Amino acid sequence: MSSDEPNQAPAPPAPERSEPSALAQPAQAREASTPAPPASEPSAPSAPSALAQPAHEPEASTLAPPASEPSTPTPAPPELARGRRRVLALALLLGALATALVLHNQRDVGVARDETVYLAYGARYAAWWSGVARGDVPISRATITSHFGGAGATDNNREHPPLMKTVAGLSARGLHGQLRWLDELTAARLPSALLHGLLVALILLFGARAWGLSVGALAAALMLMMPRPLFHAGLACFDGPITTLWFATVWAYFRALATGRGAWLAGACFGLALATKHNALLLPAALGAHYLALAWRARRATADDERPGAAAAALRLARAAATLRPGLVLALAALGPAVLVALWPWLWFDTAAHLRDWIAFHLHHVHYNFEYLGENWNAPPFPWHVALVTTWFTVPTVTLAASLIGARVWLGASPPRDDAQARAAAHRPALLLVCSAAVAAGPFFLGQTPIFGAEKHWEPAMPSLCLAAALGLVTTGRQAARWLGRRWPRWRKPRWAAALVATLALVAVASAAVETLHPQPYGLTAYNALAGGAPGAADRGMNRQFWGVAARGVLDEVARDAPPPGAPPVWVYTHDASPAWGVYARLGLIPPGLQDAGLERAGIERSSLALVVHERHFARHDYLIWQAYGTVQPSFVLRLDGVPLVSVYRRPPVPAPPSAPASALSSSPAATQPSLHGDGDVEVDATLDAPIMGEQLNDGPATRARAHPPESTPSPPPSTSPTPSRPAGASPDSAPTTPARPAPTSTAPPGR
Amino acid sequence: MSPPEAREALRAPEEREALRARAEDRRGAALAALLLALAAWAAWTTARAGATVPGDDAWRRAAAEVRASFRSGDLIEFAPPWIDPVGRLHLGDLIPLDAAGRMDDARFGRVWVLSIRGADAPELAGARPALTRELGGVTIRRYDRAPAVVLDDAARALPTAQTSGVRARGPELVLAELGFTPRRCVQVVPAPGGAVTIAFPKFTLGAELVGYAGLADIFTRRDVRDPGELEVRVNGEVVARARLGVDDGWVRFAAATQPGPAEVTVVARAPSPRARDRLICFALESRR
Repeated sequence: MSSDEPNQAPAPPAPERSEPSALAQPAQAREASTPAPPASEPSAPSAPSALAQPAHEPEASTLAPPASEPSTPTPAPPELARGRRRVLALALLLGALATALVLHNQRDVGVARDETVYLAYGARYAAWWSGVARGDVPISRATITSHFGGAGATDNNREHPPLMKTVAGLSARGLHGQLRWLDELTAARLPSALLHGLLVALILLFGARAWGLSVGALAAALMLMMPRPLFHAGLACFDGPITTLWFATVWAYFRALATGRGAWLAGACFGLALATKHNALLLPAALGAHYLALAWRARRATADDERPGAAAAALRLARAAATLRPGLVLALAALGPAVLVALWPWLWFDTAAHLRDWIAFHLHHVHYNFEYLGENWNAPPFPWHVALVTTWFTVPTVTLAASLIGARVWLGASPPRDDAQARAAAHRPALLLVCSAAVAAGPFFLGQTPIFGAEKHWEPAMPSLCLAAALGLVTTGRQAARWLGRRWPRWRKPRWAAALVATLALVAVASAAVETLHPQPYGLTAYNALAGGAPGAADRGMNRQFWGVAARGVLDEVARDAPPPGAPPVWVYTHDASPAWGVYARLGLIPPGLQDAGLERAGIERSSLALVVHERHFARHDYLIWQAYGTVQPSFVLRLDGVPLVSVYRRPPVPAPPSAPASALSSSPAATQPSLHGDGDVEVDATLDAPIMGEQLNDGPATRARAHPPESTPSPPPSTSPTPSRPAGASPDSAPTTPARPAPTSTAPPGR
Repeated sequence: MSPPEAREALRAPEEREALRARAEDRRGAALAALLLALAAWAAWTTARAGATVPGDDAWRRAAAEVRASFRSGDLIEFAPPWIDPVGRLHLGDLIPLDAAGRMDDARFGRVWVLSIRGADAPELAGARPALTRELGGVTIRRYDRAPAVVLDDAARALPTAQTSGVRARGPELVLAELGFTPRRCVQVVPAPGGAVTIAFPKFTLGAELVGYAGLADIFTRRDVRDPGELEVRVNGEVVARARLGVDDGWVRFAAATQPGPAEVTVVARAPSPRARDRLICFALESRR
C-alpha cells in the first residue's frame, strides 16, 4: 500500500480544495452556496467525452513523465499529509470492516466442492514449502512433481496456479495446526477474507485519487455490499482473490502512471494475479488498451513529422508508447511473469511446456451444465447476453442504477477539483476502469466461453461498476443539493448539501446491504429485487446454486439420524456435498456415525438418508433416490425465501414392492467414481444412468423416517426438535413428525 | 431560424452555460429522488421476497384440502416446476412412482394442480377446472375429464418383446431423466452407428398409438451431441418417426391405427458412428 495516497501533487493545493475534506465538506457542496453552478461541476453530458477528449484535457506533453516530477517525494504540506493520513485511515478501516464481515459471513457458508480440492492441495503445497524451509525436502524435479504436478492434466491440481492454495494451506497449517487460533476452514479462508479487505481499501484509494474521497469511500462501501463477491470472498477459492489482485494491478498501474513511481508494484501485483487464476492472462489487454489510448493522445508530443499513412501513425504511436512510461511496461512484462514462475515450482522446469498445459486446459475446458433463463446450457454457442443479464440480476439494484448514472458522468466531462485530480484525470481513470471491466467480462459475450461460473468469472469487473455507481451517486447528490439551494436558501449551506449527499449515499448503501445480507449464507442463490429475489430468479429459470455449498444448511437435520455411539454407521448419500463431507466431519458439523455412502447409484442404494442439492441438471439424483427408496416424498426441504435448495430423503422402513415386471428390469453396472478437479463439476460416466426401478432394495441401517401426516388430519406444526444454529435465511421447514406410515407403493395408473 | 432558436443565439455563452447547468441540476434532483425511491423499493422487495412464496402452513392446509377428496388414481402436479420438492414434501405419499414418471397425463381422469405465484400446469392450459380454491397463496385446481383408455403399452409388453441389433445396453424399463423430468420408459442404447429393433408381437392396438421418446441422461447428452432416431412400425409399416436431439426433451409422436392385435416394432438408431451412449428411451401406448 502506498504511503503517498492521495497523489503527490507537484504543487500543494489550497487547503479549501484539499481532497480528503471532500467527504465532510465537498467542494461542490460549498459551491452550492453560489447561485449558479461553477463550470467545474461534474456531469456535463453535452461536453466532449471524457473517455475520448475531455474539456479539461491537459497538454499532451503532461502525459509523458514530467521533467519536474520529483524522483524522490518532497515533504508534503501539513494539510495534504493530514489528508493522506485520513484517506489511508479510512481505507484501513473499511478494509478491516470488509475482512471482518467476510469472516463473519463465511461461518455458515458451506464447503464448496472445488474448495475441498484447493484445501487438500493447499495443504500439500504448504507442506512442501515448509519442508523446503526446514531443509527436510529437497528442491528437486521429483519432489516438485509429486507435490505440484504430474503427467495428468489435473494431477495435483496443476491446472490452477498455486498462490491462494499455498497461502490457504500455510494459514491452515499455522493458525489452525500449530497455533489453534482458528478452525481449519476459517484459517484456510482467512487469506481470501484479507484480500477482500484489501480490495475494498484499494477501491477507496483509487476513487479518492480519481474523483475525491467521497467517491472512493462510497465505492468501497458499495463493493462491500455486493452479495456474490461477499460470498466468494469467504471461500478458500480463487474468485475473490483474483478480483482483488486484478484490481490491485489496475490500481498500481494507474498510480504508476499518475506519479511515475511504483511501477514495480504493478508488476508484482500482476504476477500475484497470474499466480492466482488464469483470468489474469487477460489483464494485459485491459492495461494495454488503456496505455495505447494514452500514447495515442500523447503522440503529438513525440511526433517530429506529420507524414500521412498508417505506418507513420503507427510509428508515432510506438514512439509515444515507448516514452510514456516505459518502466511500467517493463515491470509488467518482466516482473509479472517472474513472480508467477517464482511462486509456482511446477514452472521451475519445462517452463514452456507447463505453461502451455496450463493455458490449454482452460482453452479446452469442459462446459458444465448451467441453467440460464429457463434453459440448461452445456455447449456453445451460449447466449451473448449472459454477462449482462446475470450482472443485471445479481448486483444490488441501486448500485446498478447508480452505475448507469456514473457511466454517463464518465462519458461527460468531469473537471478535476485540484491538481492531484487533474494529474489523475489526465491518465483517464474512467477509461481504465472501462477497459478493465470490458476485458474481464468481454469473453462472455463471445458465445464460446463457458458460462458455468456465472458472475464469479467476471467478478473483476465489479470494482469498475462500484466506482461508477459511487460517482453517479455523489454527482447526483450534489446536483440535487444545488437544485434545492436555488429554491430554498437554507440548502445553500454546505453542511446541508453535504448532508444530502451523505443521506443519498447511506440510503444506497443500506439498500445494497439488505440485498446483500438477506440471502446469506446462500450467496449463490442471491438475486436482486429486479429479478424478484430468489423466487423471481427461480421463475425466470436462473441458476439456483452450484458447488453444493447449501448442503451445510441441512447438516443439523441430517444429524438427527446420527446413530448412538457404538451402533453401526448410518450411510448418507451426500450428492454434491460428498467432497465436503470429510471436512464437515473434521469440523464437528456432523456427528460421528453419519458416513458418506458413496457416489451415484451405488451410494444411493447403500444409503438410508439422501441429499439432493437442487440444480436443474441434478434432477436425475431425485429420480435415482425415488427408485431406491420407493417414494418421491422428501422429509425435509431447505429453502431460501421459499425456493428449494436441498432436499433430504429418508428411506422408508419398509421397502416398496416392485412396480414393474421383474423380467423387464435389469441391473446396472456399478457406479464409476467421478473424477473431480478444480473449478469443476462432478463428472459422471454415462453408464451411471442405469435403471434400478423395481430392484430389490437393500434395507440399509435402520432409520427414523418421518412420514406424511394421516390423510384429512390437521397437520402438526413444524418439528420443534433441536436443530441449532440453522443458517440465517433458511426456512426451517420439514415434514411434520408423525407416526410413520408404510411406504407408498407403486400402483398402476388407471386405464391399464 | 425559429423564435426560440433566435433567442438562444442571442444569449451570452455564460447565460447558456448557466441554463444548461440548471437543467442538469434539475435532472440530478430527479435522479436523486428516483435513486432514493429505487433503494427503498429494492430493500422492501428483497426483505419481502420470502413472503411471495407460501410457507408450510399454507401447504399443509392445501394438502389437507386435497387429501379430503383425493381418489386413488388421481394425479397431483405442482407449478411452477421449482416448487415441486415442497409439493412432494406435503403430498408426495399420494404420488406413486408410475404417476411421477408418467408418459403424459392423458390417462388420468382427475388432475390436481397445486400452484403458486400465478403459475399453472402448461399441459392443462385452456382446460376449465372443476374446482378452484386458494389457501394462503397455494391455488388448488382440479381438472376432471374423460381419461384416455389405454389398451396396451410398451412397458407391459416389454417382457415378451424380441430384440435384435447391436446394442450397448437394454432394452430395459427405467425411470430416467428426459428433459429434466422423470419418465418411466423403455431404454435401449444402440451401438454407435447402429440400430436396435424391438418387436412387440401381440400389441393390442386401439384407434391411436401415442408415444414419446428422448435421450436420457444429461451428462451423456452434454458430452455427445449427436442425435438419436426412433421409428415405429405397425405390421411392418412405418407409422411414426422421431429425431431425438440432445435438447429436444420428451418428443411426442402419434399415429392412427386399426384396433386389434398387431406387431408393433420400435427401431432405435444411433445414426452417427460418433453417437455413443445414446440412451434412447421411449414410452408407447395404444389408446381406444
